[in-house]
Amino acid sequence: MNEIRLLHLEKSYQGKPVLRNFTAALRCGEMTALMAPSGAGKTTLLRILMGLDQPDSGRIEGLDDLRISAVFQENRLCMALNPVANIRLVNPSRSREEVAAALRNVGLGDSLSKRTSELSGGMCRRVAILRALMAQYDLLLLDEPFQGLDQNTKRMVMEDTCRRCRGQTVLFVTHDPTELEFMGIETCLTL
Amino acid sequence: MNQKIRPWAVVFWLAVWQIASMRLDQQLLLVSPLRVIARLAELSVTGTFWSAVGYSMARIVWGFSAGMITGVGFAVLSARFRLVEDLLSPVMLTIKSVPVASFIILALIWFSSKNLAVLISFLMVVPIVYSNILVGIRAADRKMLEMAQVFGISSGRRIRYIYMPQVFPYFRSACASALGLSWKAGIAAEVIGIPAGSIGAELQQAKVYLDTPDVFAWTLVIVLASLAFERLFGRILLWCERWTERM
Repeated sequence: MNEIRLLHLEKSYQGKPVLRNFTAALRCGEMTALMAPSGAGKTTLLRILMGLDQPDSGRIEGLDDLRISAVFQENRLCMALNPVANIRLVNPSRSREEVAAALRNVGLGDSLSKRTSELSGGMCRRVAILRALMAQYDLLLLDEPFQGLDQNTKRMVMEDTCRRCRGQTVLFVTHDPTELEFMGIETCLTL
Repeated sequence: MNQKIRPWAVVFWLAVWQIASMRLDQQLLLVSPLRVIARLAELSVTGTFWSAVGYSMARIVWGFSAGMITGVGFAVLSARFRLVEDLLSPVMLTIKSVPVASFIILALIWFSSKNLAVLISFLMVVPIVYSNILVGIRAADRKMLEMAQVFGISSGRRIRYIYMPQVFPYFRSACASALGLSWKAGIAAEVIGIPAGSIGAELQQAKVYLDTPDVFAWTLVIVLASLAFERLFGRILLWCERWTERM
């Protein structure tokens, strides 16, 4: 299948509709953006795609047996582990050297053996992004991945993300149109 | 478990004890610490002493370890299956509420006194470990579990890197309470059941002959053995904790 089809998805929480009759398609091997105001149901949609929630109605075609990777809104890192171990936790086939090189590439060369609890918020965010990028996946879900990064770091991480995501199926949630422009994303969905 | 004992505080209380004993001048009522240490030195060169220490320690450690494994196992099953929790709730409540003396007497009616300390230590440890671990598992960060689910992290790695670090503080706290209790209850069981060759039997004999130095000396042995085991167990826990931080 060349695309993942989201058909008439509906989801309510405690009687309050969050997703209403949402239909869209994600083309395989391409990056698709999703832009919408806060509370429009972006995270709910990602949770459904991750298999963490079920839609009240509607269906998704082409998602079965796909391996999913994600950057969540929160970092969700194991704070007692170092950055290398956090990344290898989700993909043990990556060697320590390979992971260390990737971390150095996003400015974390001095933090390889530190516990994640000792890292700053921006550093943790970079580890969380790299963890998602270095996992084995068929569909990558990025939920506002670059939030909390300063301008220079953001640019460096976006370049790294673009390079690593080339040719992959990605759904990228953001509020910032300049990020779409930088990443060269042409398809943009709205909720 | 990591409560710091200051040497000066120990010396202060030993001095208070020594002065009180000298003032009272009744070795039968309050023996001096120096006399206790002298008696302990006398006992420690006999084979009976070490065999009693080994006998009691082995049984209490056995009961503690079995109780810990059972408590953890039951907590994991209860966290996974509501039915198991419902089934175990009245049992745990009963074990917690029934006086330890009742268990000891019942056990003496049903079994021999030889392994009484194993059973009593076991019964003291199970409910403490069970309830602490269950709370710990329930308090595990759902967001981390979701992360593990999305990335398809294996069960073994989930337990080692996600559950264990979160449950560890609860486990440590359970062990701190259970360790002391297993020694106290285990020795109390031996004093009542008088299994031959145990510390409890030696204590009982000292009581019968109003041999106060022996009562104090054996009590000191219990405290030291309990402290030694606590230290050793603390090391094992630390090693386990570090194991969850290594890859």
